[in-house]
Amino acid sequence: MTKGAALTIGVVLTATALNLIVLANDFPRYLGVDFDVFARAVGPVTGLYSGGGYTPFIYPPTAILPFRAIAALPYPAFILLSAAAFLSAVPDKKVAGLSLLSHSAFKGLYLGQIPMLLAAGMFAALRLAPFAGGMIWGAIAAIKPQLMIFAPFALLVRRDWPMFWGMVAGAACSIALAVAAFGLAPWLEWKAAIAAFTEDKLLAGAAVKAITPAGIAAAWGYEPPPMLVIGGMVAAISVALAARHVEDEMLVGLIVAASLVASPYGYAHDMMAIIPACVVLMLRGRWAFAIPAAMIFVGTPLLAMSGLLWLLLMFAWQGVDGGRQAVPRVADAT
Amino acid sequence: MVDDRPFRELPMPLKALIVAFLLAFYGAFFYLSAVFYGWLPPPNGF
Repeated sequence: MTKGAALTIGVVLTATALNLIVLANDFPRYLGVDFDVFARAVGPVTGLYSGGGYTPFIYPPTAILPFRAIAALPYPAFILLSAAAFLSAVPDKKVAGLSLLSHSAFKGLYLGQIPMLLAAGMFAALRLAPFAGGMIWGAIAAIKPQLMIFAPFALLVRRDWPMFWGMVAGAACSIALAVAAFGLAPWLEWKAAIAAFTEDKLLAGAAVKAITPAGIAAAWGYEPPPMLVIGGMVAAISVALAARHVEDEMLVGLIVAASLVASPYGYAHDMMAIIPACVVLMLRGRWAFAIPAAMIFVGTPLLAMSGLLWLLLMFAWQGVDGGRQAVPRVADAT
Repeated sequence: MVDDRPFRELPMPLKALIVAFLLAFYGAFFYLSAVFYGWLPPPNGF
């Protein structure tokens, strides 16, 4: 057995144990609690952004139409669809299957969250023509911007102009569609909901589960902005140096990891699109990459935040190193 | 053939469009972050 395989087995067992502990403590409380948010998108748009208690509707108006389609599914069907889409979108089925055992996958499916479905979309987009793939990335950025903040910058660094313009078109179409369907009023209500979200939710204790540097700072009672700046700088340097040297799922992992550390908040399930890259890096067994990948896979807040920053610094270093296969393509590594 | 010309070799209108999109995209992110942290007063509009 290689050291990478041994590490992967140990990490998967650790994550599984953590998932079972959370399940034993939380079930059936919180089961599908975030899935109910989709159902709220079906109702009248007026008032959508007010109320909601512990699970307010905090997505931009561009998410309303796609969420109405998702809300047509029962919760178990949504879980199956998310897992099936993810399994089919990640080319290496061993990597995809192991990814479903991560804490990110467990939290996302247990709560009824959308990042697994969005991750499937990000990976599927890479198999399309660049402009079409970029349109999908743009549409995803319009639904959950904090996962894709660094996508345009990465495409700029890569000089991938067709995908860049596709992303512009996808985001513009999503916004135009939402404005045509619902007008401008929901945008103003969304803005008010973002401000209220900080007071109602993050300060009410949900920040303790955040995995971003700024989110953890808030949870510990520190001022978040310095961590936002540090996270943003690490992210920008990493993408600037490494974006031209990584491909496929590793590119998605770089973009989403960079985006999350530069975001005010994010949770374990938001890291789903990074997990396939982490599995590859664990299997490969180069400790400097495998250990932060393992920390992200296990996914508890402090481990995940440290793993994200460490992995981004390793991406940056391998970019300086000339991309000498320190970070492999997924297809080459397994 | 894939278009991977360096930014400086792109025609000026394309450069302007790229810069405009990046400014809009990252401007919106910083603006929303400021709203999130309550750094802005809450006017009834954008």
